Amino acid sequence: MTVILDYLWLEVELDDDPRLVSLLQNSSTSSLPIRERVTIGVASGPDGDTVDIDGDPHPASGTIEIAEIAYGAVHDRVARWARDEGWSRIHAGLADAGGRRIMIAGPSGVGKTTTIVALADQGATVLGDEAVLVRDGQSIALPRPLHAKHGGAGINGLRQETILTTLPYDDPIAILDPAAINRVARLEHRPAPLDLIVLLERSDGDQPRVVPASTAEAIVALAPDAGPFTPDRVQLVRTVIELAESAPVVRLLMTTPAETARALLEIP
Amino acid sequence: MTNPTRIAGLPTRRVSDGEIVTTPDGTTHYLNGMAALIYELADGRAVDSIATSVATIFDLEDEHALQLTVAAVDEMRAKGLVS
Repeated sequence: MTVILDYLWLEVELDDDPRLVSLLQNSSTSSLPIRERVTIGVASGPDGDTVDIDGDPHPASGTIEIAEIAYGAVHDRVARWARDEGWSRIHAGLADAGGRRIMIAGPSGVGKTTTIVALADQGATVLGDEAVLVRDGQSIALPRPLHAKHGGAGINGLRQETILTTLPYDDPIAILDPAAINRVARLEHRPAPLDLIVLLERSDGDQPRVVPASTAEAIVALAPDAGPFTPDRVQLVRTVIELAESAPVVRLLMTTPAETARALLEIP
Repeated sequence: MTNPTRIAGLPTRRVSDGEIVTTPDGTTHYLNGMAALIYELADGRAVDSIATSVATIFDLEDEHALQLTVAAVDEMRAKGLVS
């Protein structure tokens, strides 16, 4: 038995093994044409586990190594296709809310994922929490499961049925099913223009606060993280500038995920 | 060095590998990709801060990025693109 997953240009055929399915299950379809297929399996033997990528065996010891090999096989291929098709990758989440497409960026650990989950609880459609691909004014999320760090803003309050598995890093990471987060059977990914760019920042205040941000602030927030995925840095700078000029950019000084999500949805 | 700030109101046009800025005397100035980044970041922030972004985005040593940034800002000042 196998499970077929749609990762934008990549069709992923997985062994129906919970160790793989719980890592990669994205419950998603996309409008982009499939360009490549990859098969991923996992087997256990006397010498440990092996992850097979298109029949090529990769020894793995334990859940984390299985996860990293499987993620690498999928994400590297998607990233390559994105580059080949002219898309730049921005480290950010993406949601559709109230007829608007909103990109949500912020440094790792700031609480992006928990804010994004809170957005879904308040009626938004959450499309991703890690990477947004942008090209010619269009945006689409990398359709992977969401990753919530236990030690970040925390996983307290997550609905149990949204958690596919937990990776036992020192700071464990909960892997969340995007369809369950959105309370839908499947999630559909389509390119669309951005209507709002939100730069999340930690705050010591007791209320979330929204502050308009400049193109320069957007560049500083978005471009450095995108560098490793966009070898042509001139193109990257141009893409980020065009992005920042295509939609309003605001800084959102955060408090709790629920309050932050509410403030985000109230941005005019 | 005072913090550089773009001169307001100069027409700019983005091209595939950078940006073209026109000064009031009608002269057009071509900025390559890195210079365009420095110009866009010249919003009153410190040169050191701009250089840090240049270093990160273009994978340069900090010292090298600072030298390039200082040189670019000096040139943009001389041409009337930043104050």
